[in-house]
Amino acid sequence: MKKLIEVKDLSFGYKDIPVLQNVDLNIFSNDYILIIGPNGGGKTTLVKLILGIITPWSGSINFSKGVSTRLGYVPQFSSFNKSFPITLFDMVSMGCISPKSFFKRYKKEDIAKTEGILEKVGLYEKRNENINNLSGGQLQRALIARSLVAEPAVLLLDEPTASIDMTSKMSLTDFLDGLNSRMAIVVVTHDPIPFSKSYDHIACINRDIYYHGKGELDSHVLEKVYGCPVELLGHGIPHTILKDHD
Amino acid sequence: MTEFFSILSYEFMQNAVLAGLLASMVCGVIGPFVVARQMVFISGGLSHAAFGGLGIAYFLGINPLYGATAFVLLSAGGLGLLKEKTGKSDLFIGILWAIGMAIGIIFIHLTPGYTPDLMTFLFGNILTVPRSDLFIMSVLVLVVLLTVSIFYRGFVSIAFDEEYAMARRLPVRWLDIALLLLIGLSIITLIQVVGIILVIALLTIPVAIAEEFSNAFSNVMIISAALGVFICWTGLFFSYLIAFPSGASIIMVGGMLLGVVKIAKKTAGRY
Repeated sequence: MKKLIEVKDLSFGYKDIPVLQNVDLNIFSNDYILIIGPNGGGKTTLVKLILGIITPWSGSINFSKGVSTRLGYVPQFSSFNKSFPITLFDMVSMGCISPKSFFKRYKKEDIAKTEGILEKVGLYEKRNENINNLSGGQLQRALIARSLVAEPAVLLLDEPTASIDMTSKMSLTDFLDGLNSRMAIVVVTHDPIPFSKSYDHIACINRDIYYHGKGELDSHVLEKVYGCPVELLGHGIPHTILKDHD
Repeated sequence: MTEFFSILSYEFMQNAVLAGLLASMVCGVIGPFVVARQMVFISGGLSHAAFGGLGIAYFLGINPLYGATAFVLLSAGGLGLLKEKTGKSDLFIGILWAIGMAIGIIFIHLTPGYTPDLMTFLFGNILTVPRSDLFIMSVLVLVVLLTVSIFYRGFVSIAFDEEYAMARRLPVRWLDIALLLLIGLSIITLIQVVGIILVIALLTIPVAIAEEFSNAFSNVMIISAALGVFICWTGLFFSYLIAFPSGASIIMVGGMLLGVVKIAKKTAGRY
């Protein structure tokens, strides 16, 4: 497996308060990583650091050749202007934009790619509708479609199941499973259950980062994670292998 | 109506009609970005800062438009850089707003001889736009249209989802500053028509109406521009007909149109 991203000794904070400390993370091709942890633990911050949206205090993020421009990003619903007058097609085609093309017209190839990806996610018929008219599940698929247009090597999703119903959650995880043979997938989530069959590794983040392999997080563990808020806040993830962290 | 067309033979009326057309173009092109990126307060700050430039230009005896343009561009660039450094802009906008006005009032007060009527700057007078200013306005509009057409995709990206644009490694900060400068140039064009205080209305009302009729950003631009023409010319007509101040008449036409459209849409939705 090829190493695509290497996060080394990364630290970051807001004002003077550290959010992440000395975090190391390697992402290999075809990895499927879940990032879980309490609110304010640094999950989204880590993703934003990898994407270059914010700059770290110290440490480094190294990309293998060509990967830094091939990062797919599916943000939380709250990060964009939902009342913006934009059609689904125009939103998805934004995925083709790059530092080399933002001052040029869309190429025929971009239009074909956008149409193809809309067909793949089952939203082609709705391409001329305003994004306001889409359901939560459809909007989530549209955001994924936007991130896929650029043919990413790594797909990073921030709370992809937060605003969608159970059926949409299941079809989302099935869709991601299908993509995993072609790209690494990193999911930040409070809700790891829908991904329980798919992930390879879990990273628990609460300022520090801890890793676990597949099978170490079962339903019993999850019950504990979401049933023990005190430990969740204090440690990041209370679970049966808590001792391994010490 | 016939009388209105007959007065089109007067140069001042031709100038007013052309000024309305030019103003509408920037309303259509820049207004949707102002609304989408929630830059209404910044636009208000820049238009009031322009008054400082107008005052200094009057004092120095040069064309006030040059002074206003220089002042607004400096303010827009400065605001953009401060926003980039501090992540905040509200405080600076408020300061710029008040200091710009204060500088303008002081320099107009210091100008010897004839003191221009402050009301003309604050509320505009489309009927007094000279041919020479139309030329400057045309150049400003051309710069705005060309820049937006070149960087359209970048501007739309940051207006819709700034974070995603950053993730795509777009030069978001520079695009933001460029947009601020374009808003500044648009304000200079609009001040001639509706004055410093009413500029914000002309940047927002046509967009608010256009958004009721279109799903796509580019269409909102076109509809806003068309509505701008309708609002400016209708306001001009009423202003002439009933001898009302032109700037206020234009804005009132826009406001009433917005009210009618909103009520009509709501009523239509019920049936």
